[in-house]
Amino acid sequence: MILALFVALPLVCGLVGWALGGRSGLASRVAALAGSLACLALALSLWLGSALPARLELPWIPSIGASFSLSLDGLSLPFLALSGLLGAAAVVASWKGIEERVSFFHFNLSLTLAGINGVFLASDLFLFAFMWELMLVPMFFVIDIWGHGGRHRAAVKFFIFTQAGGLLMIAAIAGLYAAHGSRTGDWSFAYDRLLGASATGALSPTLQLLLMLGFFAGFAVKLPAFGLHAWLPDAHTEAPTAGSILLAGLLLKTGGYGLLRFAIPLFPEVSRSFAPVAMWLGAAGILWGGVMALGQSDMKRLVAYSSVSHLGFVLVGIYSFDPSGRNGAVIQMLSHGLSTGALFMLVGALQDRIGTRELGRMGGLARAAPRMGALGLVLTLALLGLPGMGNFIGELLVLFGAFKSDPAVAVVSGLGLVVAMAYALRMFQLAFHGEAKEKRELADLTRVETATLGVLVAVLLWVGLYPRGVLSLISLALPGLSGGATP
Amino acid sequence: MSLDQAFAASPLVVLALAGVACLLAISFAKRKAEAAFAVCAIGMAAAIASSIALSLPRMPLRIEGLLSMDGLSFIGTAIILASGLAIALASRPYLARREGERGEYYALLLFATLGASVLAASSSLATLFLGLELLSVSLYALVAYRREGAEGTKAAFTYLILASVASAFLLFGMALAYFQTGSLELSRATQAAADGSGGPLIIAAFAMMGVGFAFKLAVAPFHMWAPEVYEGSTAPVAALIATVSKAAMAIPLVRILAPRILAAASGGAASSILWIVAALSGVSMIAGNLLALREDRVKRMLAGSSIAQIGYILVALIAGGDYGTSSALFYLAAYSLSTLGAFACVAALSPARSDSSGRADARREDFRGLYLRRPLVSAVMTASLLSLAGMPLTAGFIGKFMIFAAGVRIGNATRILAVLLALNSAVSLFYYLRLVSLIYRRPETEREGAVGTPKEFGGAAVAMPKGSFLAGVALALIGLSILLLGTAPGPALSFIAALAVR
Repeated sequence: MILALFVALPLVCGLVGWALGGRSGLASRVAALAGSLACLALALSLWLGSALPARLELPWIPSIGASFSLSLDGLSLPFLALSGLLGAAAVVASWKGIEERVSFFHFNLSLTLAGINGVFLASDLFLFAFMWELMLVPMFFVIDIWGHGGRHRAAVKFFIFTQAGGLLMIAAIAGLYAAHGSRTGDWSFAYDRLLGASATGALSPTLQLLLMLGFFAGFAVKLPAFGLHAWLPDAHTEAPTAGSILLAGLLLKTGGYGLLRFAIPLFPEVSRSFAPVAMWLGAAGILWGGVMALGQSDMKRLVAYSSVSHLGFVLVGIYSFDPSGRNGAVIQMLSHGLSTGALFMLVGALQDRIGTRELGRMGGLARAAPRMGALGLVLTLALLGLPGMGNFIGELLVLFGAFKSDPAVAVVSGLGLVVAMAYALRMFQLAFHGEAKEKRELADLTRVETATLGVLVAVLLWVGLYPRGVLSLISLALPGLSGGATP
Repeated sequence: MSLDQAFAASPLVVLALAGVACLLAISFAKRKAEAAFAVCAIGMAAAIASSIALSLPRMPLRIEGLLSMDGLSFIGTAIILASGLAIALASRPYLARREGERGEYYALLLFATLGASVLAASSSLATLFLGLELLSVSLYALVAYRREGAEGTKAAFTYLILASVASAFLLFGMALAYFQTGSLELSRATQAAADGSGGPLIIAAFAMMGVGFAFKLAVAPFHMWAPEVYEGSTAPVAALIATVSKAAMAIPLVRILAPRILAAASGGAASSILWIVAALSGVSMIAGNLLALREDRVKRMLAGSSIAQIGYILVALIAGGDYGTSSALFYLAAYSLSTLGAFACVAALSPARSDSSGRADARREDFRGLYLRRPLVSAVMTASLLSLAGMPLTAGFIGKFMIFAAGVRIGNATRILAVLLALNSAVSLFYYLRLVSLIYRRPETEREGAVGTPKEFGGAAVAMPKGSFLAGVALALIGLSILLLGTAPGPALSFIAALAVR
């Protein structure tokens, strides 16, 4: 039953906060924070207690073979911890920034978190589709209601892209369900039972390819893969700070998680033949995102494009079909969640204070706000993948893996690190160093903000300096997901 | 007629008696409108109670040559009666605020639901036509109930003329079927189509009957009337057309299409009928969504939406079998609930007759910032629209997924339709979401006395008309049912699956 708490806690806290919120909405802030922290505590206690894997199975819709079944393994757990941590950070980040319809905002935030946690836990494909869709609408509201200037367009764009991908995925789920059911007579959405469907020859190769592409479309939009990333810069830029944190830190990760958990293990053979395409897509994303980030004058947009670049590494790592590449992809996802979440929080704090995100109008901020400057420096270093940060480990492992399976991809991806150096340092220099472009009073980060960012940075360092802590956990789960024999 | 048969048909009897009582109340009671409303609401509630307590345990039971009280008719009647009751409750404050409340309205409502229930239970072509005409004639008058302006009259004439033509087609089709089979039994006609004993004339018969059905269900290309009639009639009547009338037509359609799927696979007349239905379904989805996409007026948008939604239901009907049938029935319930919720919200927002703008209905702009003014209406409207869009937590998600699975489960034709359904859902999201997001936007200007502004938000304190409380309860129940069917559909699905095969 503990597993159900990951979904129930944010949901209940969101509802209670909404109901009690009233005008000031303080109760809703506290409730949302408590929900996230409780999830975090739960994840940590499971981590330390090492009671993995855990399962929960309740009947849900027996007539179509769907059950409410959750399972927790070494791959899900770090993401759940991340979701608790970033959920709390998102509440902290919106403590000042969100002032209207506060209760409804936190309800949406909590609902999104419930959906995200459900995605990381679901082991029934129907439930997975349910949770996958559940994240969408509240996130749409978060962008559309509380976002910045171009929010309406960005929200619709976000929704249409992700929903189109989601529908293709749902189509593939229904197709898999129908094909498996009609051949074996076992009408079930259960992950474990569908897992062997391709291996037993129940599905023709063409069908496998089509279904795999359906899953891939859903996940690649979320990730986002190169070519399907058009929604991301707008959504990340226009979303309120908390929305950007959840989007970059968690929503993108559901794409990578989905590839690892569903797309590849369900269709191992065709995934393997599809791997070169996916890896090149990843490499293209790395370079494209980096080059676009280089040209941005809007700080938030710059961070958004850097996400496209970083998630390209995830795609390369996942489809390298190599253990170290896979490990690297997961580490990269976690560190990207931490570092980019923290960066968005920082940019949000800056924007709240000086009212702009234009790099051209900043400058000299480090002198005016030393704490902000120091944390900004650390996060910039994380952005460019300096050793000691989790991002370094992730990118390095991905490149190792990629080199083994396709050296050309590894070389091209490696160029991304150079570009990252350029855009990250440019950003820091323009914003924090040099002369102030405009005279202004700048309040430094508050204690709570500093502490939250500090925690995120500390975890990032922990991942970077002691990657075994995470690797030992995910290496429990990943081999089982590579889909049969590893090369 | 034996006692068992009488009990089995009791919901129809109760409705008919309530209709007569309603007429008597209008003639003799002192406060006519109130008495008529009470009789109408109590009559529908009693019909629901009797269908559960008296009718359900005796199913399936045939009343030879007339009615077939079985699982299908029970589900149909349940949807019809629940919708009818909700519409009656929602009508009261609406009429009080706008058109003026008259007892005859409720009597017509009762007769319309009676006609719809007869349709759902009909096993013979004669009762089918009887129910259809009872429903249609009541609807003609109800559509014309809106008296100010030319719109109501225009809508009523459009509906009257087109529906009469459709009835004529239906009647001609029935005559052909009778000519071929020598029987008025519906099952004989479908049998003849399936095994090919009816010859080419039976296809003509079903094609002509199909025109009648397609018109009533507003399936493209027989959908042209829908936007105009929805727009011209009062919001509760539009809800009646969109839910009760369509559910009533969908049930006989299930009877015709459901058992014939296997025979159709081997070719023959039934196969070509299925192909026609498949084409209609695809065209409907596309035409409905395109219509709704371009539409700024809420009621017209909902008209387009319901055209597309019926197209979705047809996919499951074509897929057929137990699974397809129960998917279609579940989706029918989900669709009715959601459409009902949306129209009830539109009704709740309609400006008072005294409103200076001279507008008849809530426009899109009235939804802007609604969240601040009417939390309950906003919540139910959101749930309804998201359910129509097929988002999770709502009944529509489960329903759409089931139809989709039914589509891919069966055959190539339905697979194409299933893909069309997925694409269309993606398109339809745009217009549903456009409206939903408007609800939660900041109002541009604080309009004085905006529609239904409660006291705390500045507007003049509008006294809520009589019956608002009951209407609010109905609205809340609709919203809760949408969420309940969306999160825990298990029991409802098993119930429907068990009934559908009875």
